[in-house]
Amino acid sequence: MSSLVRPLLLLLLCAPWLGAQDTPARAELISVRVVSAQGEGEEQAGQEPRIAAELEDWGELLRKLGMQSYVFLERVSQRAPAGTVLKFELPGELLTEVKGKPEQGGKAEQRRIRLEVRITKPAPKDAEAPRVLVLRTEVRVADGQEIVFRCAEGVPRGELIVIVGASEEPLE
Amino acid sequence: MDPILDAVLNGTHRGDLTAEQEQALNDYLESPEGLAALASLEDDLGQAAAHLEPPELPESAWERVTQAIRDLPPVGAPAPAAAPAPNVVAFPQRPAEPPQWPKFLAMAAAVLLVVGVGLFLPLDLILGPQGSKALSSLDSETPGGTPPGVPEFVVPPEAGPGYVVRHYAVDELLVIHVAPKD
Repeated sequence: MSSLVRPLLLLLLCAPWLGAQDTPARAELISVRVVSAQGEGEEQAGQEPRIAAELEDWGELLRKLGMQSYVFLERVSQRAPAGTVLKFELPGELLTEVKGKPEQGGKAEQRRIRLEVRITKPAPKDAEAPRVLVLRTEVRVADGQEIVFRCAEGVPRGELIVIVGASEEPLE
Repeated sequence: MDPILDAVLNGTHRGDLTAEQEQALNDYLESPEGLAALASLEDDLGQAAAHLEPPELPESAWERVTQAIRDLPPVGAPAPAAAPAPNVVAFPQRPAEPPQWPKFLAMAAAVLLVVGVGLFLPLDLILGPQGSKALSSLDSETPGGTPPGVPEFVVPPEAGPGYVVRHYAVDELLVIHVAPKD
């Protein structure tokens, strides 16, 4: 019985110090970045692909999607502790909102993130209600890996492309 | 030599003596002279025996030895009931072995240490970043699911009744395509 006293005393003495330590989940900051673009897959004959300068980092990705021309819409990022709901409002002809909630205490290799993309198409007439698209999902994604949403709803030409990525590293 | 002793050594038997002669012989053997004569005779016989050849056993003696060997029980057969109990030789008592529980305690501690280190040791140190990523993806891999390296759905995408949602992978990129229903 007496042999248990020493470890218990040591544990009691260390408890305040252990409690003061920041756990990874507590100190974990996650950056979420949303990039939106309007892309087209058709290319006019003799016309070189047009890539907006702001989308050069995603040029290869967009080519894989079969897009030949891109119009940059928005690029925005936020950084907050994991578990926080991050809300993005993207300008454009459509009112686009993106909400992202990275999992708290998740592993960087496979972090879960809850996403909601809301696209509101203005009513053609004041009397009609706007058409709202709400896409909800939750994915397990590696740190820095991106997910692409494509939607042709309400886009005059081509498709609306929303690229969402999350990382422990700051994303610009 | 004394006539009585001479008579004895020359083959005179007691049955040949009369009662008086036998009594005289006994008295003489118990007398100092008789004892001295016997001692001297014993010495002479001892010296003479050293120069004699070993005596040859009679044929009857060999027959008795052969019969005694035949009467011995066969090897491995149970001893006869009347046989005397074999002698029990007590082995020297071995010192008591130390208790085994410290050894088992050490083994249990070693196992716990290995398991504990294995749980918390970063896999990057052993497998490298790619190997760690590949191993962690095994936890979520499902038959017919997304290819390795592609983000996996925890909650499938849903956009309501007016839209069709499909998803596919381009290399390691997950693409979610939403289109209105016709």
